[in-house]
Order: sequence, then structure tokens, then C-alpha cells
Amino acid sequence: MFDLNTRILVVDDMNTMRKIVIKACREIGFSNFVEAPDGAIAWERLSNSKDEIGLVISDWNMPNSTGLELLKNVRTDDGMKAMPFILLTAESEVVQVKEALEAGVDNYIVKPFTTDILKRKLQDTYKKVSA
Amino acid sequence: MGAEDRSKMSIDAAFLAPFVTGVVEVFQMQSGIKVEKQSPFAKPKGFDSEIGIAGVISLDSAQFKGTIAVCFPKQVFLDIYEAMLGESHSELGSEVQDGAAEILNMVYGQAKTVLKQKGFELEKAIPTVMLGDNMRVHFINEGKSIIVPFKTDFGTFHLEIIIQN
Repeated sequence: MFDLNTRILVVDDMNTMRKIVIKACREIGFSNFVEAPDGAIAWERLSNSKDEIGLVISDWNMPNSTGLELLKNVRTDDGMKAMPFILLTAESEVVQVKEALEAGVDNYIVKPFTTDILKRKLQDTYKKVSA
Repeated sequence: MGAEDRSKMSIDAAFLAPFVTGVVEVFQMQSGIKVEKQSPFAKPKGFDSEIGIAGVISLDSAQFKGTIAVCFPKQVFLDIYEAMLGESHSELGSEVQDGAAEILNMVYGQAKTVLKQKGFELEKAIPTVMLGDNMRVHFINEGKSIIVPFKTDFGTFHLEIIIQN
């Protein structure tokens, strides 16, 4: 499992969904978060604090810059290309996940989700990126 | 009842069910709140309920033209919001309104997937939030409305589907 001190970047244009993700992460034991309302601002946060953020949990559909665009930026940056990256997606967007997998996403979570589902996804993602 | 009416009833029921399931699943999964569906009914003229906040999505597709609204009494939604996020609010401010929109987003996302499998094609839709004191959901050229009440430990709220075609 990820170190509970890992700093998590939570990206979603809906304030409520960022809170839901952070609340679930807190229940798992994490306490260090950075938030961004779209992919463009998330990219700025990542670029300004490369050494501090250890995991990205990002929505797919957002204005300005989508989660997929953020993922592609991360995967083509030499300093960040190994960053663990999880996409949040609505049930109706699951068919788009193939595109995200091809772009190098480590895992995805379908909304709505429980804390147990998030924990399992984080455990699976950690195993994958640590292999 | 004529064949056209029966066909219409069938389309309405098929359309309604994924939204009802979506409400139950979203509340139980995302907030741990047990939601019990009550018997649906056609909205009678003069129907009155205490609505303080409503998430509303308008749809205009080939098979369905109408509106989906999730309507809550003010205190019921404030209590649901606190259960979902652990934050207590006394008013329906912007953060709480965002919560109503996100709940409807998730319900719509769930329903859209099931409806697509049934042959209904729905576009991506952005919910709006309406606020008011004991407001009524009412639209110009209002068509047939179906009300589905839901019971929670915090009180009841309802889903309203207004069918305009």
C-alpha cells in the first residue's frame, strides 16, 4: 500500500467530488492533499511540486483540460512519467477507459464508489507501480 | 387503453427505472445512507411538496424530451450533505448546491449507461441547481410528470421526471 504520508493530488471540477475523494482517503489514513479544479491547474501544481506529489486521482471530464490530457502530459514528462495515476470516471464513460489505458493510466474508479473500493484500487495500483 | 398509450407507458417505465436504481445506488454507495423507494405516482394537479433545493437536468433526445429533477426539502438535504461529507451547514450555500449537482451527475451517469443498453441515446448533460422556499417544479408546456418518493432516516425527498414528448 502507498505510504500514508504520500501527498495526493485530487483533480475534479466539482468541489463535492474532491471532498468525497479526500474524505475517503482520510478514512483510509492519508492526510496530505493538494486540490485542483481542472487538468491545467493540476499540471501547474505538479510542475511546481514534482518532488512532493506521489499520487494523482483525477476526474476524466473537466473544462479547460481533461483528465486524459493531464495523464498524457504526465506520461510524456521525464520527471513525472512514473507518477501513479488513477482516473475517476462515470459509469457511462467506462468505454473510454481503453483510451486511458493506452495513454498509461494505472487504474480507474467508477463513480459512485465506497471507501472500500477506493482502498482496493489504491492497493492494486501500488502493486502495479511497485512491480 | 390504446396501443399507443400502452407503448408510451412501457417507454416511460423503461426510462424511469434506471433513474430510480441510480438514486438508491448513489446514496448508498457514496454516503452510506439507506434509501427506500416508495410507490411512484403520476403528479396530480396542484401537487405540493416542501422543496428547498433541486438538481435539474433537461434532456432533448430523439426518444425523450423532458426534465429529470431530484428535489429535497432544505433540512433533508443539509442532513444528507453532512452524512455524505461530514460537514455541517445551516444554509444552502454554494458548496451545498455543488453537492446537489454532483449527486444528480452520478445518478444521471448511472442511468445513462443502463438506458444506452436499452436503446435510449442520451447526451452528456450539465445539471443546474434550483433553490427556493417551498418551491414547485413547474415548466412551461409541462407534460406528464411522474413522482418517485424516497424515504431516508433524515426525511423524504423525491425524483420527478417530466415527460414532454
